[in-house]
Amino acid sequence: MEKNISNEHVIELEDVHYSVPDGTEVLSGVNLNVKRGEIMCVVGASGAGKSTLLKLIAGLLRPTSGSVKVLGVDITFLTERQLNDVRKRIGVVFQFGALFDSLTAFENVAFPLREHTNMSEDEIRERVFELLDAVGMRGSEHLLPAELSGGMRKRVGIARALALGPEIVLYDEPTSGLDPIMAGAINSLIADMRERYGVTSVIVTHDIHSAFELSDRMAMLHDGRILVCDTPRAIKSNHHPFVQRFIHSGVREV
Amino acid sequence: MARRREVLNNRSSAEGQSERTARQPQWVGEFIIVPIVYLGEVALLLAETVRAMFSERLRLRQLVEQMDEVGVRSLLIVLLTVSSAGVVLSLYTAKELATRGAGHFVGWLLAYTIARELGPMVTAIVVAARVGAAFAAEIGTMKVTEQIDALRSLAVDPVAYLVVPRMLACIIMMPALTMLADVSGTLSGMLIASTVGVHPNIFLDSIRSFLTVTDLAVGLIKSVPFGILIAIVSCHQGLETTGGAMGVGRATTNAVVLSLILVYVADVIMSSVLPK
Repeated sequence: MEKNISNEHVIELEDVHYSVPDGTEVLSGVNLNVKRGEIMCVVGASGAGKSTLLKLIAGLLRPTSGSVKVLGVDITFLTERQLNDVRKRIGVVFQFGALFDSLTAFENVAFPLREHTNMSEDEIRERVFELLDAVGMRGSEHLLPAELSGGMRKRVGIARALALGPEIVLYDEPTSGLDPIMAGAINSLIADMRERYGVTSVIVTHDIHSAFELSDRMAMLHDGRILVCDTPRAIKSNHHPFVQRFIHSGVREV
Repeated sequence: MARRREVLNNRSSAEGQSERTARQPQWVGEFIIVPIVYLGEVALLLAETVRAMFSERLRLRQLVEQMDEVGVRSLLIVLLTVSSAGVVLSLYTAKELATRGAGHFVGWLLAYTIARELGPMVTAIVVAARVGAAFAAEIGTMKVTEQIDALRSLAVDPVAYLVVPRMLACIIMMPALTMLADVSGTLSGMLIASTVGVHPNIFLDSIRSFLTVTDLAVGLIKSVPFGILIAIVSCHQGLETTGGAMGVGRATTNAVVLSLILVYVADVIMSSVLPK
């Protein structure tokens, strides 16, 4: 399989610390690089700070110390408005979809197009249907989020994140709570995005089977740090006790 | 090991801090620092909203939706409340004044009270309860379900998208509601007064000769800051919501209570400053 991974780093985290306002340190010195076109899975137990890591990359949270560079831009100290230029090039898929409840599935996917492009309504409709087709949601476009199942919401969330043709897509638990068939469909969708558009993906998950199947490299987050970051094959043969426990427990809470 | 030491250090410094704060009486924090911090946050959101109002394009669809929510959908309950206040006021005063030969003051008394105070105040209370609660609950739910994060990740400013249309809707609709409330309150008072011997003609004549444009204007002017306060306080509560469904409930209650308190304070200040 031809993989379009270049050596250019599109995400660089350097010694990133993050503490929640009450002082508890969630991340204590994370270093992580992601190359363009790569599929990187970040695995770890629930509460290990995986979602926090994702939000730091998306610029939704600011690190307490350290630096976050995305697409060559140091976003650590950018203002919200300066961040928006970078954010348009990143798609974020939230754990529960985070669809806007007052908008239909169609309007949710059309939302970023209406906000940031000058596309005509016809062009928008065409693009939205193309995206909904890609996630297998064509035919549900008139439904409100409350009328969709969890998996359907997640798929519409993916379509919305892909709408502006992002260079990086960040997924928060894309397969959790889905049946195995749907989980497989989403995994192949993620792989397909890379094949077709060279999208870089960072996937935060505790579904270790998906992670092994999908990733070019995996990072294992434990105790606020990246314990190991390597190819799935190397991870499997890593002898660190935590790594082994994590792999063999099928990944429940550790 | 190093990490362990760090944790220990953090703990000891946290203890030191609580010792330090323990020395000052607790009410200092509760009654002085907390309100100041709170007002600061609200002021910052207000500044941010004004900035977004002028620097970002206006979302007309959102504005119209909110004007419908704030204005049209509140109209009935606002009219009902102010009318009942007008009725009660008239019940208490019209007969007394009429029997003492001051029947020609009833119209003015009612209109003056309603235009200057009851109209804007009761409208604000109803809107705070109805609309403030809705703002806080809706935005709060968006916050706890990551929809606010989703907006930001899509490079859309939540203040421009959510707060600006709500505040503008309040600024536009509050005076409109107040004006209609004034009219319905006064007319319902007139109806009651006519049953105790104050003829509508005398009632209206009294208004015409004694009520000034200033009286009306003061009431309408007051309603604008009331609207701004309700919108900002409620949106702030919504945006600061944490902790799931319970947090949304808390934010909603706080939004109404804090809006009302600030409306009362603003009312006292404006009533003493604006021309009598």
